[in-house]
Amino acid sequence: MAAPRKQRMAIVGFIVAGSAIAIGLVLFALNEGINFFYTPTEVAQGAVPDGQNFRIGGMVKTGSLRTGELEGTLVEFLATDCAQDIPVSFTGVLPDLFREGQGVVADGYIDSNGIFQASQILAKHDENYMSAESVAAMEASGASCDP
Amino acid sequence: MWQWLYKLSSPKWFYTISGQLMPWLVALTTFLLGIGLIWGLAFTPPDYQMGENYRIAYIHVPAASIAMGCYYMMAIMAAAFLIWRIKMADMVAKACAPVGMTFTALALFTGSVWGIPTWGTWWIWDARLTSTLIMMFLFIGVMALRSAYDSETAGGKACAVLSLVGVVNVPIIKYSVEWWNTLHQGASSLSLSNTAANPPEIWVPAIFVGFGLFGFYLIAIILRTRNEILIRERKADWVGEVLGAALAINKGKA
Amino acid sequence: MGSFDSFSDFLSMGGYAAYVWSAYAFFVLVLVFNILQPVLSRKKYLKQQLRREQVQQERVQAQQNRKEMTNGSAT
Repeated sequence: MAAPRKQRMAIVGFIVAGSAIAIGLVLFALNEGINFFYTPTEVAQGAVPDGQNFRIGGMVKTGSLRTGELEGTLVEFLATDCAQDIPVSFTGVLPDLFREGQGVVADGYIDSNGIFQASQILAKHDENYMSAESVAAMEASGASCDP
Repeated sequence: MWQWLYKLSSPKWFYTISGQLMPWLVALTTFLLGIGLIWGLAFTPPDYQMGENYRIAYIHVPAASIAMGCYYMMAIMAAAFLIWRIKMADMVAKACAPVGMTFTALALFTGSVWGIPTWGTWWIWDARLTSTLIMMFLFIGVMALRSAYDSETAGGKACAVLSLVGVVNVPIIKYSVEWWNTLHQGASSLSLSNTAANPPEIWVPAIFVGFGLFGFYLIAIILRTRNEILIRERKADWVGEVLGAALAINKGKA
Repeated sequence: MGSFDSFSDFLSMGGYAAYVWSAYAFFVLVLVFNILQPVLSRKKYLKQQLRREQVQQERVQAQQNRKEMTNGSAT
């Protein structure tokens, strides 16, 4: 192979490897910040400073949901990652996919009573697409807590 | 294989072969897209939670993965142009940018529209969405950079460097959902059984749309590349003949 | 029709019509753009080449005419 060609190949390799390392280091340094939400376990471990606004993500604990009569009224539930629970309180309209046993991301802060006061609720969809029939078959085989 | 690639790197060969291939590609693409879209839109059962809204996924998922594949292709062509000075590679790389940009825009738009009822928001700055937006800006940046140069070669080289710098972003898009907590869900693991999550009755149409859209992607790239060949190689004898024939048809119409 | 009871059921997409159809409309837009744009720019380029050829022909013709005129005056 001709020498200049080899040299150009090295330059291309250097560009790709160099930018990969640079961006890799940035991402490594930002690692925590890139996470879109904290899990209830991380919150319990004190990963979030008091009084700060942040997002928690988990599952709406089955049987914990209490809603007001009208849409847009107070909603309370427990957000769980199967290890830790955090009580969440929210007033507003919920997305279609918000339901018990489903993923949820809430934006807000923890008040003095240890309750997460959410200003926004987002539903987190899992990667499973199913028809009603396959759900029935799945449920017959037993559900699990796996956020 | 290498011989075939070598031949494709000649503009004349590329022009002739792609011209012969085109009708077959168009037929296959129409067939696959037609079946996949009708099947996905009207015949697959609704999702147990998202209802009919999940039908957006039949275009969202292939659009996003082809956009990422398009970026890889642009970067590979950029490397081939920088290392071996293959003019054909630069022409294909030039065609990749606008096509990739529109496919990324399609993935972002369909995702947003799906997200409004599902998530409760059309946009959030999580790792998956942000890195995909960065890819769209990279495609736009490559197009802008090329238009800023008068010289074809200088512009091609500048674009090649930018394409190679940005290529790290593609694996970041792919693995963002595994490396970080994101609102965007992870990749679905497809099941062969009808009684589990993601059964074949739901993903088989997606395979049709996926291959169909890939065929369309190839058509879009080939059309742009052929134009580029006619413009850049206009001094070549064979292009003179091709242009002469095309002009004769045009004259006949006028 | 398939998983829907009627055509109007199909159009209403279980209440998600605005989302599903706008997504598919954008999809069609992307398809049309990616075909139409290169086809139109090819046409434009061919027209340009045609005009260039005509201008060149006219120039040659004019030159010939001039030559004939000067030849005519000489005899």
